[in-house]
Amino acid sequence: MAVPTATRTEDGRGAKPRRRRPPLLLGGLAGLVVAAMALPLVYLVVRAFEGGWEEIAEVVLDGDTLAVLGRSALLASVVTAASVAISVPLAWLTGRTDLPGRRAWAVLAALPLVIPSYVGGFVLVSVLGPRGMLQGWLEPLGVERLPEIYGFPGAALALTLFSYPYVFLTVRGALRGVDPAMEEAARSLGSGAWATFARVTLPQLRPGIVAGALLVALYCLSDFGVVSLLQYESFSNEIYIQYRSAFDRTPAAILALMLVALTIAVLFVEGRTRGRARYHGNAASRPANTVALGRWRLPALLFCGGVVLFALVAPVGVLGFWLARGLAEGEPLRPLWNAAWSSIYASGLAAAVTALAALPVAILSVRFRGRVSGLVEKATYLGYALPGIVLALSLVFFGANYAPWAYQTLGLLVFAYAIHFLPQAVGTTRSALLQVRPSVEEAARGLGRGPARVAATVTAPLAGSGILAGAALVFLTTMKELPATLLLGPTGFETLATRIWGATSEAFFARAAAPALLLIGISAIPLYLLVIRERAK
Amino acid sequence: MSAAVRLQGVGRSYGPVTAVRDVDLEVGRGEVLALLGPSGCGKTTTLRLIAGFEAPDAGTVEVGGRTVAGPGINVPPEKRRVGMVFQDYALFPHLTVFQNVAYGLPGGKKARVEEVLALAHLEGLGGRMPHELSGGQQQRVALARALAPGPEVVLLDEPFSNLDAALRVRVRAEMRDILADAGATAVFVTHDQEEALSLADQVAVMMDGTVVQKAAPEVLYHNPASRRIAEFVGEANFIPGTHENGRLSCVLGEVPACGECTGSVEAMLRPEALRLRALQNGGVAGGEAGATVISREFYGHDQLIKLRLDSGPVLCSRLGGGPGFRPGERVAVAVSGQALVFPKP
Repeated sequence: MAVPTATRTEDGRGAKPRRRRPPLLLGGLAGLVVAAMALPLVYLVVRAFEGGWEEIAEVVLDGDTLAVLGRSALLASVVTAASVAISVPLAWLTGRTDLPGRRAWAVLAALPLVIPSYVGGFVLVSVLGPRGMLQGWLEPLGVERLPEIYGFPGAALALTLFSYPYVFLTVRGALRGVDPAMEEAARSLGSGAWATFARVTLPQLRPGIVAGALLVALYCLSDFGVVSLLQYESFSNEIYIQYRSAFDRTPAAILALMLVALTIAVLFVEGRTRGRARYHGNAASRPANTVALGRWRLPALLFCGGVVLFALVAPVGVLGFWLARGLAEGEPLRPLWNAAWSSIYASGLAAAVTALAALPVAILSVRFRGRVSGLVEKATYLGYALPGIVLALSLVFFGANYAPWAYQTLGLLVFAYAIHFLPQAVGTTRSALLQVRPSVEEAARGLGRGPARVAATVTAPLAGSGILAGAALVFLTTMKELPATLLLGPTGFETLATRIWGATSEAFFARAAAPALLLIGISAIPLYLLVIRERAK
Repeated sequence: MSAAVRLQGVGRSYGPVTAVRDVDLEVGRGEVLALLGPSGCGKTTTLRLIAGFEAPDAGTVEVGGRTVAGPGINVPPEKRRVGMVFQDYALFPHLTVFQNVAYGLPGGKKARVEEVLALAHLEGLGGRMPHELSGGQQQRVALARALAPGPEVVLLDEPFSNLDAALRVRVRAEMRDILADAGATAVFVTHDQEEALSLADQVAVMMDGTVVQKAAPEVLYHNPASRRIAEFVGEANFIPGTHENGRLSCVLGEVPACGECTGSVEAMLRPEALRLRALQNGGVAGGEAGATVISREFYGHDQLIKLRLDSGPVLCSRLGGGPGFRPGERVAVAVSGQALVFPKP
């Protein structure tokens, strides 16, 4: 789907990489994009070193800092492991078995992606927290106290429930790419169904699992909303507190750099796990045989049902409950249209800008393969390494000091979104362009069309839907984005995300329900379009 | 000697579509059988029925004298002792060549792997990954992997279709040798009649979901059971005539003929049974017919001349690779060989 699939072959089929010199304009544009990408990180480094090595050592080697860093790493590892444990069976059940209604389960299992994790977090608090709904129900039964939801268990649960779809989607994509003949070969060599899965299928899924796990791990490290709501002291809210409380912003910059170092370490580990195998995303020659579940059918249904219940039905149901209760108690339903419009407007701008910025980079890396273009492409992945809060912080410093004309404008916010989500757009645009064989373009050139005409009449129609999918993905994630919106939004600028955040941080659940439901509804549209597109393939 | 594979009355339908019906087939031990047929004739389904990836609706499948599929029986693929070589080889991309071959050996016996690698001329390549091999090497790894556990039969699905024409002939010969060295029984599926005739001990022709003829290659070529088979296996000329007591009278004169039916028939003559002679000024002799050359396809080792008889029919003649005839040239056609007669359609 939209999440980068690791199983796609990197070479355009049969196309030799051409070592032509890219046109100056294309190179210039790509260079500009890379420079913009590098700006926040470079400025962060400059800022962190303002106090000299001594201050850095003081902040970095502080026992508390290291403990918080460890807690963030722990949270990310547990959530990643849990997401993989949920997603792999889910992908296999919906992809390769005779599970009743498996198509519908697949869509339902992907849907929690539209629920922002901080919304999930506040739902969790409102249900399981002290004086929450569950305790209210259980009180007549004499239950006085529920197990503590705040802290690690709550944060891990919320993050797992609302970020596992990243792994689910990449694994599902990888599973489709596994040639069923491979599994049949294993069967005829004497392996039973389970042994075949463990020894042949699972290793083929590894790139998909790793790609999804990477997204989840990076998401956890950058998450700000859930850990704040559930009061788990992780690195990102430590940075936020430091930024809010201290006048001297150098320590915040140093902390931010440490978080960047941690995410780069995660990216590095991912790069090392690739090994020697080369995986091909062959479109399967014949549809895979489905595995008959037999007496495992009921447990399998219960498993899928449980995941969908906790990650999708329950949160939406609880939001509905709060909305109804708020309305019944006369909670003023402040008009949401301004906030909704701001969300859509800012996200739409971000999607357009990001998709446009991704184009030169993607064209450069696909059509003019070489060292430099490879580096340019890699550089855009810096966006992954910069957690939202870090990126926002750096741009706040930069804007306040060097670009007061941009500070607190929508432009700077959209700029932040674009940097943050550029990797997503580059990924989808790249794979869309890879599917357009250069020979098709060359055929058009040979028929007497100039490069611009060819791009407009051949390349764009063929790659267009992929580029749009990238834009839709950026739109979806921008709608949910919280820390950058909080820090960089112009004064008085209110989106659905900030509205929810404002209400939940003061525990006005009823007030948060309406914008949350609206946000989920709006985000579901691009996701639906992405799913439709996948099915059309 | 019991058969390595035996199919009796096997049928398989997918909803209203009958893929395979009433297939009877026997493969002797150590025999190489080709399943030959046009695409969609059910040959791959038959192969998958033997392997156990499909279950028959009717009939029984025996492998190594043991019934593996039939009423109330369906032995899973992993318990059938069949080796399979897939069209795209389906090598495990995450395993080395050695590990691929060892996959089907419980405990991964090193000595056996080395033995099979040597048999398939893959010495020294055990440490490579599949993508580091050429197409022909990948094919031999797939074959070695299938042979390693010592299966009752090796099944090959269009084994040469992924190779380019130049490589195909060489790989075909290599594979023939490897199978012979291993003493393996093999069934392979192909739509290429040349491949079937040159490689197999027995060829089973499948059409419309069933086996229409099973015979040794030379028998199949010279004595096809029907006009359709004759057309599918090699080039064939058909001319009308009258058959009586082993003599056919037709536009080419009196020709020796064999076949069941008599009276008004359709006679088949392979292109190599037609001799051509340039007509300078002289006329056509007895037992010859006048014709005009239409076109010529030169292959090096032989050539195919298309010509139109003065009486109308268009025929094909295969000659050696010497000097040929040019389009428009006048020739005299004679028959050297036997015609095979079929009833008139």
